[in-house]
Amino acid sequence: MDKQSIAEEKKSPKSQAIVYDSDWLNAYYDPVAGTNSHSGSIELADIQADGDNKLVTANYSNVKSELKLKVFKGASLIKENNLVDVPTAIISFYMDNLNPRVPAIGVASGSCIFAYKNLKPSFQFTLPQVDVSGVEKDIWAKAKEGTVDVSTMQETLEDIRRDGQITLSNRSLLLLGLNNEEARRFIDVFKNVEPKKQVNITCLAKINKNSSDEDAINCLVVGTELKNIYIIDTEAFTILATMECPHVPVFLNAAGLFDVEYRIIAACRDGCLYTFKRGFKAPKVSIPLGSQIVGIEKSGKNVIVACMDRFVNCFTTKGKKIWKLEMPADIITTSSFEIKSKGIQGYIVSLTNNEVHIYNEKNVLSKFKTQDAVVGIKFGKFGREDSNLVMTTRNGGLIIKILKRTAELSVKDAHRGPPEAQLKKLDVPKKTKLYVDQTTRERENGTLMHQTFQKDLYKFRIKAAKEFLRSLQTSSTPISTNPNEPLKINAQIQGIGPTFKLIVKVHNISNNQPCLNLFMTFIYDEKLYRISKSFIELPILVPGIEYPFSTFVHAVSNQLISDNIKVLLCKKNANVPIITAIISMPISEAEI
Amino acid sequence: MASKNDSTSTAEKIPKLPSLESLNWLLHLFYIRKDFKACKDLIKEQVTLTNGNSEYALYVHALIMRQEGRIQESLELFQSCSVINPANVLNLKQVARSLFLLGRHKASIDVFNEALKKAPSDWEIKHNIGICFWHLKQNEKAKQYFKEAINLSKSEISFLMMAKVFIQENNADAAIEILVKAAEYNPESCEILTTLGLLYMKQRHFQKSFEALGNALTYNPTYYKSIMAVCNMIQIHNDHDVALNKYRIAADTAPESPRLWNNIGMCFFGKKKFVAAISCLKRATYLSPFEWKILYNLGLVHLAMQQYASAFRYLNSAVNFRPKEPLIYSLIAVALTHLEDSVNAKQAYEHSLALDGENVYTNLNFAVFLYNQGDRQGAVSRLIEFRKNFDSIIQGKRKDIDPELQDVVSKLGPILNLGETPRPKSIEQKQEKIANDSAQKYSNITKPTDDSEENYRRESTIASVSNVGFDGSSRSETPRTESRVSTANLMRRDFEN
Repeated sequence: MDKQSIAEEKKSPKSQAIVYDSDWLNAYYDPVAGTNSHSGSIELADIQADGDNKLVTANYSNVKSELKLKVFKGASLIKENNLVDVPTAIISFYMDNLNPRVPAIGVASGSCIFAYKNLKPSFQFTLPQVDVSGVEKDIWAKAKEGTVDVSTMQETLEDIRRDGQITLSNRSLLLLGLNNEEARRFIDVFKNVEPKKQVNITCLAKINKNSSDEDAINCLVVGTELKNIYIIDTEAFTILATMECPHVPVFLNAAGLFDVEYRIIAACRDGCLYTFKRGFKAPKVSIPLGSQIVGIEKSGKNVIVACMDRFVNCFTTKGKKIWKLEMPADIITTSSFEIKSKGIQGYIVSLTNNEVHIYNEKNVLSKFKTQDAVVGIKFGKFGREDSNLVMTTRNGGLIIKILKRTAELSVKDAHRGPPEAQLKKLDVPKKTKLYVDQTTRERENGTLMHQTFQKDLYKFRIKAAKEFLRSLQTSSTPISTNPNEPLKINAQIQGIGPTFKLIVKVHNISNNQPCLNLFMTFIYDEKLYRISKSFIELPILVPGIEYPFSTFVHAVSNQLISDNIKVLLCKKNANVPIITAIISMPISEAEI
Repeated sequence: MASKNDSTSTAEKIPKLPSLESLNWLLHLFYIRKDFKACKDLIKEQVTLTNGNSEYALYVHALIMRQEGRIQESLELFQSCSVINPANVLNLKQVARSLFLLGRHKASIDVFNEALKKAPSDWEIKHNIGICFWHLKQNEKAKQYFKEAINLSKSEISFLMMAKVFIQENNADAAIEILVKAAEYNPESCEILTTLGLLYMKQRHFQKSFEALGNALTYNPTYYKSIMAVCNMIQIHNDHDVALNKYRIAADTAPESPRLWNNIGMCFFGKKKFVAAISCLKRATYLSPFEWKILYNLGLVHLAMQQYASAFRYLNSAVNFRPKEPLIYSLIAVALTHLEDSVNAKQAYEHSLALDGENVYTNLNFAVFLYNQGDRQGAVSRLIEFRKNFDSIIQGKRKDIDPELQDVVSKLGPILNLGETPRPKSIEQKQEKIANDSAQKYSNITKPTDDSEENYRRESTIASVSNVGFDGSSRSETPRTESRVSTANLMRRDFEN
């Protein structure tokens, strides 16, 4: 019976364990590819219209010369473009109706979008600067006329800032941080130009303009630091629509047709999701998450939101929570995937434990470990192969995996058996022979054991009680129990011998009662020690102050033995000490 | 910076200003990845570049500081953020939150109120003010703010906090009401369902409780709290194997929970695997040495193992922590009977009945004990008492009555009434049997209710346990031995001196 159950337990984990690794071919891994890109700055697109999809990455770096747009064909780098500024995001889009259909790559950095076509820069679009408020403008106008001095200007600007109604332009904010002389020169340089607010792009997305074909003309959706979302026509590069977000958008997800109906979901820095629809400037729905958002993906009609608290949440577009799922580690980034030929779609999450999980709704389809933490993921057609997973790692590495054509990516634990932990055996120790012997002994002699134990326990208690009583009667405790003489004693010994210094601190712990007529003396073995002052008369002890008294102790014996010295604090004319401190002396060093 | 640019600028061309926010997106990206090192490097860069004017860099820096536990420094950074941009509600919220984390609830409320002026419909602010009031023990105000927060957002945590306040006020009905509503809006929340299940359990709506807890487990089969509660109910129905299976999951997530090992031990006990039960219980008592329930269970299992001396020791410790628990005295009586200390056994029985005179097991055990001692009169009166209580239990249709109880009664009854034909030997055996069986039943009656309470009082257990531990190390000894009583008195007298 037992054997059977053990055999079953051994078998069951094997049959239940699901092997995921076999779904993917490891196509390429370069730990130093120099691709410092996040999920938003990786694109797979057929940028040369030869049916062979290229990988485009925009790289972030501290060093300006390393800010690059890289194009890979297969595993080899075929083109590098230097970038003027740190790339925020890139996106491939169709900007014209020409044939063959060649998508452009849009690189957003700062307030500009640079469009690259056929691997060459072709167009630069700068978001229009925003006017500053009237008050601020007036001040700079006055500065231009020279009718305002530096300190008044700074004061006025400071007032505006403190008021909190208007956000100042960069220029004014910088001015506030300068001292008088610097500020004067600063104003001289800038006063001739009208102050404007620069618009910084934070994220990019695209929707189709008027046709749902895959290669139809796109509109760009741009989120900015000034809490606006713009929709930009890519043929003429004009702003088609502007939306106002309650907070700075960090991720955008857009779907639909601009001319018909569309929905934009923006994840913002305040940890909320906002949904915009065609024709509305303000968000229709807001969904608070309670944690910062790491990524948003669409899954059918629902929104999947990955958060910093390790949870992946699913909401309807109306904001009703459908489910949430906890990841085993912190989430770094997310991406969506769709394999049309198999009719599968879902999302991919990368975790800090170097794992990448592929999910459909709440079910794991596949997962694997990577060599480094993955910070950027893109799934799509690469080269001529349809289902590739391109990943960039934290240290700039590049991993490419190809989905095997035989891989099913089906829900493998659909029957939802018991969780893995249920198969683990409980850690219960086995009974030992000693234990069994002792048990038998107790069973046979239980009564006797009990009686002996009880008897000894009583003896022990009586002994303890007697000792306690004795110590109270002889006042051999360091704290006085006599309410008339509330004293505390604390003795310490200094030195290594043969001469020691004995310091006794006496503390009157009463609130208002001074102690009079006290003296201190010692009990010690005269064969071993000699104490220079064996009688110390104490002055009046005022409450709350600690009085130190000291004397020298000489070890007179040559033998390496030590003994206790008792310090007695007594009242004159009394025959019992008030308190006693026992000092165990250290072994004295020999005299040199 | 500007002065540097001076020389390069021509009359028409003005120099490009360093942008205060052009890399905010990157900061945010590093932050959400929890790549704090990269974050800090970038922050340093940004702060020097912008002369400390970069609001968002400071903000993220403060957030990181907080996560690293440097709350005071984080508070200062948040404060400088709100100086740079007082219009940003987030800054104020974070300042308030830092104050809250530092335990300055009143100051926190003030700042939150300031923030509320700017964002009057922010549920999070209202929720947090509620929590502050809750910590300040102003439950009415707290509830009002939670209610407002719920109206605005239907957020899970506000519901849970509201329920918590009600539970603290012992208003289980209101708590259930709020949680039912919460479950409507958050259908998959394990925490809501589990809290609800436990509340139902406390109200003795076992069907509803089981439903709620079962739901919680379907959404998250590894949720420790609900496993404990569900298994508890399974254990009541003596389905020990199922419970053990589930406990394995819990043991994986919380291997150091004394409650868990106690329950596992009692599962083994139910399966009559006494040695395993003892080792689990010993682990439990190692993890939580002041918990009288574990000690009680250990005593019980040792009784079943016929290790009466050990049983007595454990029960003795249990009674020190819990001097007014009649069940412990009842078991002590059984142990003492076997240790041939009938004087103290009798005293223990009497003490147990003085605390709870209606317990059928104690009454019957006492009756058998008295009969074996030759006190026929006493035995008869105990038996009458037993019958009275037993009938009322039968009428109450409680099913947790051991069938053997009746069996023993049907044997003992005739002997007492028939009179002069005693068969002492067989009775003695029976008595042993009664003791064991009834002891076992104790476990089944007491243990589950204890656990549900415990699950429920999770936070407060430590405090309450230590309270129990404090009182009565001398008082609890009174019923057992006269000599001990005298030592206790002696000691007390000494103290008075």
